[in-house]
Parts: sequence; C-alpha cells; structure tokens
Amino acid sequence: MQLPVLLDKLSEFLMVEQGGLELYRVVASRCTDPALTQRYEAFGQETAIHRQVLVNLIQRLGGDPNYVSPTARLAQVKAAGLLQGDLVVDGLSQQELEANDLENVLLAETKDHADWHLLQQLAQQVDDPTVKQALQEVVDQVEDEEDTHLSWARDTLSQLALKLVTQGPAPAPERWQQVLTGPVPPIEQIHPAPIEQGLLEPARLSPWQETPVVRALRSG
Amino acid sequence: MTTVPTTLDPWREKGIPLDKQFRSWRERVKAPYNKRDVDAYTRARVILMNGVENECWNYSHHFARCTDNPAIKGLLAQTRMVEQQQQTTINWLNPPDQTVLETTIAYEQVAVDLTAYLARNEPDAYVREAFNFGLLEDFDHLYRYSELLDYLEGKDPDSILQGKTEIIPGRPTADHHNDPEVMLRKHYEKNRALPLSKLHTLTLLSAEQQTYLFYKEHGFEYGSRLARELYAEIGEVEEHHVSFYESLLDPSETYLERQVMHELMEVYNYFHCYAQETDPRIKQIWEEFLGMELTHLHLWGEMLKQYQGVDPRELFGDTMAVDFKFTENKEYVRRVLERQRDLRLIAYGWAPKDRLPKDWPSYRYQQIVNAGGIPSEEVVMRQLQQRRPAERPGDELLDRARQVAVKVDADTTAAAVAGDGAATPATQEVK
Repeated sequence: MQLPVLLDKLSEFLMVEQGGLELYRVVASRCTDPALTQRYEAFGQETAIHRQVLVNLIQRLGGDPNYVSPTARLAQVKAAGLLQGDLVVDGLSQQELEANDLENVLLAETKDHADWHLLQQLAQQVDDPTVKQALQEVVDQVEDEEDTHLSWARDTLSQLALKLVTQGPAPAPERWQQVLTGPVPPIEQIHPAPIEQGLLEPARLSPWQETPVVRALRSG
Repeated sequence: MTTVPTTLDPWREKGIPLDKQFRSWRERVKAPYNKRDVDAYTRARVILMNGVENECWNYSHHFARCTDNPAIKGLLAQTRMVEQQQQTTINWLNPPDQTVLETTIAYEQVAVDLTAYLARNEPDAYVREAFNFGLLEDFDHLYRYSELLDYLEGKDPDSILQGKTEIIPGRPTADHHNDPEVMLRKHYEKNRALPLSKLHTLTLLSAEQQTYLFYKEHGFEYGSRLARELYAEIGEVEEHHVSFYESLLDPSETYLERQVMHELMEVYNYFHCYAQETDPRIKQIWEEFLGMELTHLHLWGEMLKQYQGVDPRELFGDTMAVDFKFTENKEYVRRVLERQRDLRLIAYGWAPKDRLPKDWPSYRYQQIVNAGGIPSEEVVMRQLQQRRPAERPGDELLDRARQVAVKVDADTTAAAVAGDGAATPATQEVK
C-alpha cells in the first residue's frame, strides 16, 4: 500500500467534508421549508463529526491534518464552485434557488459517498493490519450515514422537482426580464423617451441571436 | 485614402507571430504628434486605444491572479507584456506640450463621439439607452472643462475639437451624482446577445475607465482649488460610468470567454483605427498592432477550445463587420439632448426628473456631495462674473453655452436639494 497516496486522498476527503459543512450552513440559512431546514442542520452536524473522524484517522496513520494535498485544493475549488453559482446567476425564483441548493447537496454528497465507498473497499483489500483496523473502524462509524445523506438528497430532489413540474407554482416570466437587457419588455415600457431617429444600419438588427447550441447544430 | 474592407474573418486573418512582437525601447517610443496640426480624430484614436490597452492589461492581471494553470498563466504573461508595450507606444504619441486640460478636452471629445456612434450602431435598445444616458453626461463634462480651459489657460477648446464636437451644456454635471446602486443596469444575456453589443460595451467601458484613470491621475496637477475640485467631481462621475457600463456585461461569462472577448475587442478597434487613420505614420502603428492582436486572438481562441471545449466562432461568429468610425455626431447628440436631458436614473430604468420617487436615493447622495458648492457650476459663475467681451476665438461659442448653462443649472435636482426645501417633495424627504 502507498501510504503517501492514501494520506493525499484523506486530505482531499477531509476537504470534501469541510466543503459539505459550509454548504449545509448556507443552504440551511436560506431554506424556507422547515422539514428541509431540519434535515440540512442534522446532516451538517453529522458532517462535522465525519470531519473529526477523518482528522483522527489521518493522525492515527501518522499524517498531518494541516497538510493540504493538491487534490484537496481541487476539492475546495469545486465546493466553492457549487456555492458560486447563484452569486453569478440571478433571476431565479425562490423555488428554483432552493431546488438548486438541494441539487448542490446531491452533488456534494455523491462525491462524499464515493470517498467513503473507496475507504470501505480499501478496508477490505489493504494488507497492513493497523491501517485495515483504522479504516474499518471509521467506515463502520460513518458509511451508513453517508448512504442516508445521498439517498435522501437524490429522492428529495426528485420529489421536489416532480412537485414543481406537476403542481407549480410557475414562476413569473418577468423574473428573467428583471436582470436581462432585452429584447423584452419593449424599451418603450421601461424608458420614457427612447431614441429612434439618427440610428445606423446595425442598430436595426435583431438584438438577440440563436443560442450557440442551436447555431452549432445548424452548422452541423 | 485607400479603401479598405469593413468586414474581416478575425479567425483566419494572418497575424504577426508572438515571438516577433517584442520591441526595443527605441522601437516602441515613437515621435509624438504635433498638437497644432494633428487631426482631432487621430488624437481621439490615440486616446481610445490607450484606454483599450490599459483595460486589456488590467484584465489580464485580474485573470492571472485567479488561475494556476501554467499554460494559461504563461500565455497571459506573454500577451500582457506585448499589450503594455503597445500601450507605451500609443500613449507616448501624446506630445509633452499638450496640457492636462487640453488632453482632458480631447478625452471628452472621445467620450462624446465614441458613445454617440456606438449608440447609433447598437442593436440592443436597452444597451443603446444606457449609452445615450452616459453620452449626455460626458457631453456636459466637455462644456464644464471647456470653461475651465478658458478660465485657467485662456485657450479656445475648439482648437482641440476642431469644430467636430459641439460645446453646449448637456445634462448638468451637478445632477450626475447618483447613489452608487442607482447606477447599476441590467446585463445582456451572453448566449443571445449579438457579439456587436458585447464589443460595444467593452469598448466603451475601456474608454470610460481610461477617462477615470486620467482624471484621478492628473486632477491634482493644478494648483487652482476650482480645477482640483472639478477634476474630483467629474472624476467621480467617471467612476459611476465604469460601474454603469460594466454592469451591462453578463457575469456568467468565464475568464477565458472574457479573455477572447478582450482580444476580439482589440482587433475590432485596431481595425477601424487602421481603416480610418489619415496620418500615414500612425496608420502604420495601427496596422502593426492589428497584426499582433490577431495572433493573440487566435492563441486565446485555441485556449478556449482546449480548456472549455468551446469554439470561439460559436460564441462570436465567423466574420466581424467593423462599422465604427470617429465622425461628427452633432445632430444625433442634439436629438438625444432634446429628448433626454431631463431623464434621471432609477433602479434598472429611467424616469423624468419631475416624476422621481420621493425617496429617490440620489437626493440624499447629492445632498452630501454638493454640500458647500458644486465645482461644475462654480466654473460657470466665475466665467460669468468676469463679464469679458467676446474678442478671442471661441469666446462666442462659450458665451452661447454659458447662457444655456445658467438656465439648466438653476433647474437641477441638485439645486432643489440645496435649496430651501420647497422645490420638490423629495427635498422635504431628505431634510
């Protein structure tokens, strides 16, 4: 077994738990569904414990929990990326925002679950009895909870999306118009004295074109 | 002048290889133009392209601080070094005997004729109206600085403008002072907006940012309190304009997309400079730099393809029509002035000044910044008090503008805020 590789991976997994904790903190603070909020808070607490479990494991294997491996940095960037989405994109309804939060939980928990699945497989395959024992103990402690986190996120997101599609509410189309320049509503509705005279030929072009996807499909 | 095409395929045009783009000190520092016989729009192109290069340099640093990819950092370092060499060449074309105020007049001429022509060409009506709004503000700055030039240096502003751009008060500068959030606009949608709208926005943003930098960097060079205050006042409006125009950009554009957009914007602008330039020596510079930028565009387009899987043609189109030119826009500016002088900004929109909400946030802001006097109005009053007969070139033009200014300045929201509280309901609100 390559212990340095394992320690690099554990640093990454620790960062994933840290990212999960931060994600739960944010989504719980802005969720308007009390049942979901309760779940986020509970999972956040469990994630904090998983973080501690990994710190203990790293120390037990002779590693340093202060060490940040390159892939841990990658995990950190990805976790921040999940939370960055709604800093960059506005015009979401409250329902869309909360569904996006839950989707981010699903993405984060999918990775988290894969990490613990790997540790479980390692515990079965590794030769070193000390490492085997240490891995088995943490997997026994955490893996069931990770299973629950993932299946809950996947099932709840499906339910939420199904409910939105079948029952609504449909968000007002104006939500998008509040952030985009055009072409609707017409300028006359938002400007008291728009200029129509003295314009040149390019100003007569339609202000919107087909999306890059449609254009790419058209060009084959 | 040789006829040149106005459309190019920026992805196929041959450029200058990157390893042939660095220049010696001797090569990059050229002889300045002669301020007495330079064409006003040659000077305008020098000012615009200096601003474009500074924006590209600035953005490249911003991008570099947010990436650890060696290939991208490396190419940023390479192309940025070329950008800053180009900036030196361009900015050093300005002659040493051109005073800060003379250059300032030229900056405002750029702002007026650039903004007006871009607005006339802009397909997105919302973006166009944002340009029109900024246009009337820069138009007024031109008048206020013209008064200062006459007051401090006794010079005719038209010796810079050469009759191509008018000197008349626009929307009074005293009313340009808005609550910072009021300035923010909606943004275009990056998937649907035409590349032309993106290029227009980034070009104008570059020019306004350059104007901001110039005023902030040179406003202190005058000993006169009035001049120092006027540069402070208008410099802050330019900061407003930077916030205003940058809010039109789609924030979901990635770093790499923006980098390609910057290179395309440079190609667009060097191309019209090359096509329109009347000074053969300077035309050669535009042609050389166009060749450099084409290579930068190709290299960054490849990066976009490699790291984002996006063909830049899908984002920005196969060909590019370059319609822009520096030219007179007097009739257009007058029309905008007539229809829009009394408009003010509200959240993501516009409203006539007599229909502003009572709690319009800019009332409070104007109460703060205009307390104790408004430099852009004081300069007019000082000139009026001199009661000088019209005897020198330009005196009549300024006299005419001054008469208009006295009328419009008395009717500003700023005057209402500073008055006795009876002018508007909003005045009562902020008291």
